[in-house]
Amino acid sequence: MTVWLGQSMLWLLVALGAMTALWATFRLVHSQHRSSHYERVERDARYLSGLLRLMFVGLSLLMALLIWAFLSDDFRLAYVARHSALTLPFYYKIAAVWGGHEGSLLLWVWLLSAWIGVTTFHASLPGMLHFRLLTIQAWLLFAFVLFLAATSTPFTAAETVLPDGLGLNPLLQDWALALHPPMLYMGYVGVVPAFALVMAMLWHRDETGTNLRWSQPYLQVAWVFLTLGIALGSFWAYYELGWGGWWFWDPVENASLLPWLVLTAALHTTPIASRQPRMLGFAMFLVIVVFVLTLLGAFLVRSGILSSVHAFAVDPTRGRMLLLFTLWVAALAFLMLGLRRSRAQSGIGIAFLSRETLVFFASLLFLVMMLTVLLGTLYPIVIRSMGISDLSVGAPYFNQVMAPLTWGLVALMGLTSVLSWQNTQPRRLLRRLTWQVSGALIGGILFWWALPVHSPDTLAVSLMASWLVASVVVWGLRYRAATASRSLSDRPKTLSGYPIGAWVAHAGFVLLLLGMVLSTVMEQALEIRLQPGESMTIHDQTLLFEKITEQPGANYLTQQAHFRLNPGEPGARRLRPEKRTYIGQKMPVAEVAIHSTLARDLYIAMGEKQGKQAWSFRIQYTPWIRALWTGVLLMALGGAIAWGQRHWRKAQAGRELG
Amino acid sequence: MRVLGFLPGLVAVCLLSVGLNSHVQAQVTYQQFESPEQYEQYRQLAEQLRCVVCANQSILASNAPVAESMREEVFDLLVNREMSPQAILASMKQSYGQAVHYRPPMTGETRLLWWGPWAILVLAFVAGFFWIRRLFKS
Repeated sequence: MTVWLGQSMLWLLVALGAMTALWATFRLVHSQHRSSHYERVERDARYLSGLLRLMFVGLSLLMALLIWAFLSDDFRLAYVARHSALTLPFYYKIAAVWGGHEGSLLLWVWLLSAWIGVTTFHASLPGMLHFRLLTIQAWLLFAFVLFLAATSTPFTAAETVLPDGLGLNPLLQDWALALHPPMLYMGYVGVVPAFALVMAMLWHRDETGTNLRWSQPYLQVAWVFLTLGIALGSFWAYYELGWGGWWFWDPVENASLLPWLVLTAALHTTPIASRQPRMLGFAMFLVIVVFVLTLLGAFLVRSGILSSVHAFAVDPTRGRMLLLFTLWVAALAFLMLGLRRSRAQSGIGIAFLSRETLVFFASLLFLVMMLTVLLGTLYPIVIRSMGISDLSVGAPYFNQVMAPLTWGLVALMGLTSVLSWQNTQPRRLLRRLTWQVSGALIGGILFWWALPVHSPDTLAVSLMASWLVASVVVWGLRYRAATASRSLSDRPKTLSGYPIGAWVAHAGFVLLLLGMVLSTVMEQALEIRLQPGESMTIHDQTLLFEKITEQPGANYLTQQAHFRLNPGEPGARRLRPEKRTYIGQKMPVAEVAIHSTLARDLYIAMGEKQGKQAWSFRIQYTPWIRALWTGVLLMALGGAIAWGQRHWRKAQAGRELG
Repeated sequence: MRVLGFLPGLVAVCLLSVGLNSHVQAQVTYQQFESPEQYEQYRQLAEQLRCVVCANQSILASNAPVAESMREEVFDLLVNREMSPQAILASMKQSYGQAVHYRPPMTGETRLLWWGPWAILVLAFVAGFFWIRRLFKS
C-alpha cells in the first residue's frame, strides 16, 4: 500500500514537474514573439508559482509518507527494513529517513522544493526576470525529481518481509549526525535560487547588476547552514569516532568544504558586483562554481568512488547519472556565462588601492584553496584509475599545502580595515597600516609570550590572530570616525546600521583559527592501560579508573568505565566513557566521555580489554578546542545577524517611505 | 580494489597476528615505551599510516584488528629494533605499498600534486591582475 502510494505520487510529481517546466518554457518562447503584456506576465508568474508550490506540497506529503513508514515500522518497504528496526528510538527512526541514499535524496529534493517555494513569494525582481528564474528552478526541480523516481525511489517493496529491520548504522545514532544532513542540504539547496538568478540574468541579458542583490539573503542563509552543517559533522567526528581529532581531510569532509570556500568568496563579491557592473561577470562565475560544486559533492559522496568513514549513502550505479548531470549543468552554465557575460564598461571604476581589489584577490585565493582541496581529493582516484600507482593523500599533504594559503588569506583579510571602497589615499593607507602592523606585532608577541608552548606554529597563529583583531579594531574605529563626521540625520540611528554581523563573523574566524592551531599543537594524548583502582595524571589532572559495569540501553548493551576526575578534591567529577554493542551489530561503538571547561577538554575513549581486569583507554587533554567550536558558532551567528540586519534595514526603509 | 593492492601486506599482517595471538599480546599502550619522546614518535608515525582495510582511517584512529596489528608492527620496529621514523615509514611502505602512507612522495607522478597548488596560485593572480585592470579608472 505504502509502496504503491509512494510510487504513484512520485511519478505524478515527475509528470507535474515536467508539465510545469515545459509550460513555463512555452510561455516564455511564446511571449518573445509578441510584445509581452505586463498583466499577462504577472498572471503567468502566478500560475507558475502555484504549480511550484504544489510540487512542494506533493513532496512534503511524500516525505510525511516515508516518515510515517519509519515510525510505524513498515518493513514491507525495503528501505525501511534496511535502515530501521523495532527497537530504534522514535527520534532516530525519523533521522533514519535520511540514513541512506534514497531517503537522503528525497530530503534533498524536498528542501529544494521548499526553497523554490520561498522564491515564489519573494518577488521584488522585475516580472520577466522573476518568471525566468522560476522557469530555471522548475527545470532543476524536475531533473531532481526525475532522478529520484528513476534511480533512487525509497518506495520499493522488500523481497521478503522480515519481522524486524536491519537497524540504523550505530555511528548514525547520534544527535549531531541526525541534524548534520538536513543542515548541509539546506546549505546546498540554498545556493539554487542564486544560481537560477544568475542564469536568468544571463538569459535576460540583464547587465544592471542591482538585481543580483536579490540573491544575497539566499547566499547568506545557505552559508550559515553550510557552516553549521560542516561544524556538526566535524563535531560528530570529534566525539563519536573516538579518535580525538576533528578534521581528517577525508574526501567526504572535503566535498562539503569545496562549496563552502567558494560560497564565502561569492558572499563577499555579489554586493560589490551590484555596485560595480564590471565585477558582475566574476560574481556570476563564483555563484555558478558553488552550485556545480554542490552537485560534484553529491556525486563524489554518493557514487562510491571514494573510500571514507563518513560516506553512508553509497551507490555506484547512480554515480554515472549524477556525474553526467553535473557535467551538463556545468557546461551549459559556463557556456551561457561565456557567451552572454556583460562586457559593459559602465560604472565609475575603482582604483588599485581599494577594497574591491582586495575582495577580488581574496576571492581568487578562495578559488585556489578550493582547487587545491579538489586536486588532493581527486588525485589518488585519477592516478589509480589510470593504473599509474596507488597512493593516499591525507592530512600531511593538506596541512602542508593549505597552511600557507590560509596565512595568505588571513593577511588579505586584515587589510580590509585599511582600505576604503573605490579608492584609498596612499598616505592615509600607510598611516593606518603603520598603526595596525605595530599593534598586531605587539599584541601577537605578548600573546605568544603568554602561551605555554613557544614554537614557530604558535608564533605564526598568534601574529595572525592579533593581525585580524587589530584589523577589526581599526575597522570599528574608522566606522565611528566616518559616522561621527556625518550630519546627525545621516548617522545610523539603530545598531542595524553598523556591520555587526560581519564583525561577529570575522571575530569568530579569529577564534576558529586559534582553536585549530593551538588545540593541535598543545594537545596531549595517551593510549594507556589501566587496572581498576589505578589512577593516571595528564597535564595537571588526575583520573582514577574505578570499575567497569555492564548494562542494557534502549537498543544496545553497554560497558561503562567509571572514572573520577581529581579524586580527593571536593566535588569530584565523574566521567563515563562507554563501549556500546548495538542489537544486530558485531563491532562495538565507542562513546567518549568529555569533561569540558572553557580552557580545555578532557576526553576519554574506551579501547580494548587487556587481560582479566585491565582496559586500554585513549585519554586526551585538549586545550583551546572550545575556541574552535565557539568560533564556528560565532561565524554562523554573524552570518545570521547580517541576514537579519538586511531585513531590518529593508523594513525600516519601507516604514520611512510609507 | 583497494584491498588487492594491499594483499602482500595483508598476508603479512595475518601471519603476524597469528603469531602474536599465541602469546596474548596486549594493545600498544603508553606504559610499554621507554620514554615519552619515544611514545610521541610512535603516535606521529601511527597518525600518518593508513589502516589497510578501513574506510580511510589512520591506524591510530581505527580499532579494527588489522590496525591493531599494524600498530604493533610499528611499535616493534620502533622500540625493539630501534629503527628511525624514516626507516619505519620506508619499511611499512615496503610491505604495504605506497598507499599506506598518507603523505604522498615527491616523485614523477606526484609532481603535479605538490606543485599544482602553487602553479594555480601564480596563474590565478597573474590572470586576475590583468582581468581586474579593466576595472581601474583610466
